[in-house]
Amino acid sequence: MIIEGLIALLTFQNMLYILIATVAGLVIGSLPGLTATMAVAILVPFTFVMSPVTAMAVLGAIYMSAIYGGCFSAILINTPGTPSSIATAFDGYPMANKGEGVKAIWGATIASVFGGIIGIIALAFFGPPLANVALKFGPPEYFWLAIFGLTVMSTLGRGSIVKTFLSGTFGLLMSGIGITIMGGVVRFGFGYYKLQAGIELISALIGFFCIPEALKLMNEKMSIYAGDPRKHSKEKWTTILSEIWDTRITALRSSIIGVIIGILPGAGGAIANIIAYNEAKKASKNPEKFGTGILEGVIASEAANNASVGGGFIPTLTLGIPGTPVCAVIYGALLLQGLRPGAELYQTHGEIVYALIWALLISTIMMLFIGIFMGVNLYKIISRVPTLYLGPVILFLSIVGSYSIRNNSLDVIIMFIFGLLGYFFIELGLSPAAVVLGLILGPIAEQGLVQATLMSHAFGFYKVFFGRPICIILIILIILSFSWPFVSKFLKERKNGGL
Amino acid sequence: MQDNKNKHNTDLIAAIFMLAVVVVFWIQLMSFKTNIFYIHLDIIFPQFVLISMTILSLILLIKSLRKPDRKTLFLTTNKRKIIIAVVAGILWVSLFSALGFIISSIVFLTFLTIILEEKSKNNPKKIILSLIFSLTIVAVVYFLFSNVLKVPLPKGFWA
Repeated sequence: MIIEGLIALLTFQNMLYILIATVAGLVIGSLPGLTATMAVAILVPFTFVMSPVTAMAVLGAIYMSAIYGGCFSAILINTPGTPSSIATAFDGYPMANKGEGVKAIWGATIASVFGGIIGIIALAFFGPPLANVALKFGPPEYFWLAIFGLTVMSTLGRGSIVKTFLSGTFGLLMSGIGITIMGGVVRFGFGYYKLQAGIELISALIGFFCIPEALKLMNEKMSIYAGDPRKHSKEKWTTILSEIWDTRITALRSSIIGVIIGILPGAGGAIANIIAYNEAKKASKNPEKFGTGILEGVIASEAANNASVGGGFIPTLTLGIPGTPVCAVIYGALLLQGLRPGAELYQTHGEIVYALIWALLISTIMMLFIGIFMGVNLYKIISRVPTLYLGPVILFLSIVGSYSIRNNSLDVIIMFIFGLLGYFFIELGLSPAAVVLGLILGPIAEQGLVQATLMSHAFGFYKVFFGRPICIILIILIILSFSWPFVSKFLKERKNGGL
Repeated sequence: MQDNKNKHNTDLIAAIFMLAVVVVFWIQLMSFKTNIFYIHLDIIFPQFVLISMTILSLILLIKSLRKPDRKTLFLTTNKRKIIIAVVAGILWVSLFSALGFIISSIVFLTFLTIILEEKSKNNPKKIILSLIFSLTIVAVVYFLFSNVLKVPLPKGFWA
């Protein structure tokens, strides 16, 4: 089946389509507001007239490259192109700011390719058994997973930990605006009916990351980057590759995290990149350098988000349960092609499944060359554009991007309000990244909590929340995650004292 | 001493801001009406979040009184430019749908690039350059969104 899939895919037309899809995915992913889900959704109608193999190849390629494309704007203008690149901005932009943008682009590209390949290997060889693990995740497990995600906040802030957690709870509160899960009524609507749809995550993301940056740029008449890119442009690519090689363990760990998070239905790259960043920081010998512009931070985030692509396809193709929002759109495309995702898909249309896996691999390899070429040149262009022009353009793209999510002018207004709030938060030492994390994890945590509470009426509170094996593992991880900064500090002091 | 006068207690401001948010949302939650059977399930999570926010805000409030984090707010900001940018942004966002994508974008992009330039450097050549820059950017984005990505953009009230 593996070879048959490759043979079915290997036509000039398919290769051309994969190339176009890869470039399109890179462009869409790099534009703030246009997500991978939107990229795939836009292309679905075009695939109706294609053969199933070509259609799946195109959608898979655009998904993989759009997730990677988000790193460009994260690194170059401190604005994650998609929620999957939030953590990339933490170190990517400081690197660009220091003049090390080329190195950041190389690192992000190679990590994305590596993570993508690990995800594809997991999909090709371990799909069915891994999917069974995902089936064991019920509401209590999702609740604890979200809480585990929230522990990331302890490493997100650069200043006061209380302020970071306060920012996170603010994000959780904002995620509660809209229709409730159980009663189906509008909560925190303030009498404004348009708020029933809730806060659009992407609008908030654009606002929190883009607007403060745009305002900052409109104030300062200079290059966007403080450092001189020319100083670092002479750095040999072999030196850059050697630095990337030194982060291989981080890349592998992050890829595995990406695959696991990708498999869990509803999670995906948005959560994977943040958790992988957090784990990389904890495992690092220099955790204090995270956030100041180090390659390891970029590698962790980018390896995880592209690994989540392969991971997301596992429950989609083997169980018929979409692992990520993009997979839900691709699921629909499969149905339109007359294919029903699930275990029998492997038996009845194995060549299509393996053609998709091969297309993902080919697209990932194409990304390596197109990505570096595109990213490095974008960096050179952006570093030369005066901020006088760059600031208004970022504001312009933020408005268009937030409008295009749902063609709703309220999203533009919310984006701008969150942007001003983000500017104010930064001045006060609060963390916009923690707010966004709260917005992402809030709905998962609430749904898990509500459904698990309902379950507890039948099975008992302690049994539901504390008695299930995966819950116990997650609770241990949460305790370890919370205590790790203190434990590592203690161990470091002891080591230094011993010396 | 003089220097300390210009510095603000950011912990205190952040704590008061968050407590105000808690009060506003708590009042909303109190007046929240839902199916009586589901009421505890619909408010359990926001209640937990609001209580956590209150505790964290109070911790920050205590810290602000004992060991405050003092900082000069908006230090690097050219106040004239920031006010212009924010007001222009609010107008742009408000008029985006009414004026339509093309008109609002050209007007505000050109306005911002002209107004943010140093007064002494603004000459007719510079203004024409700003206009050409805005027209090009708007044309490229319009083509990309409307023709390639098929994302409908607002046409304005006259359309």
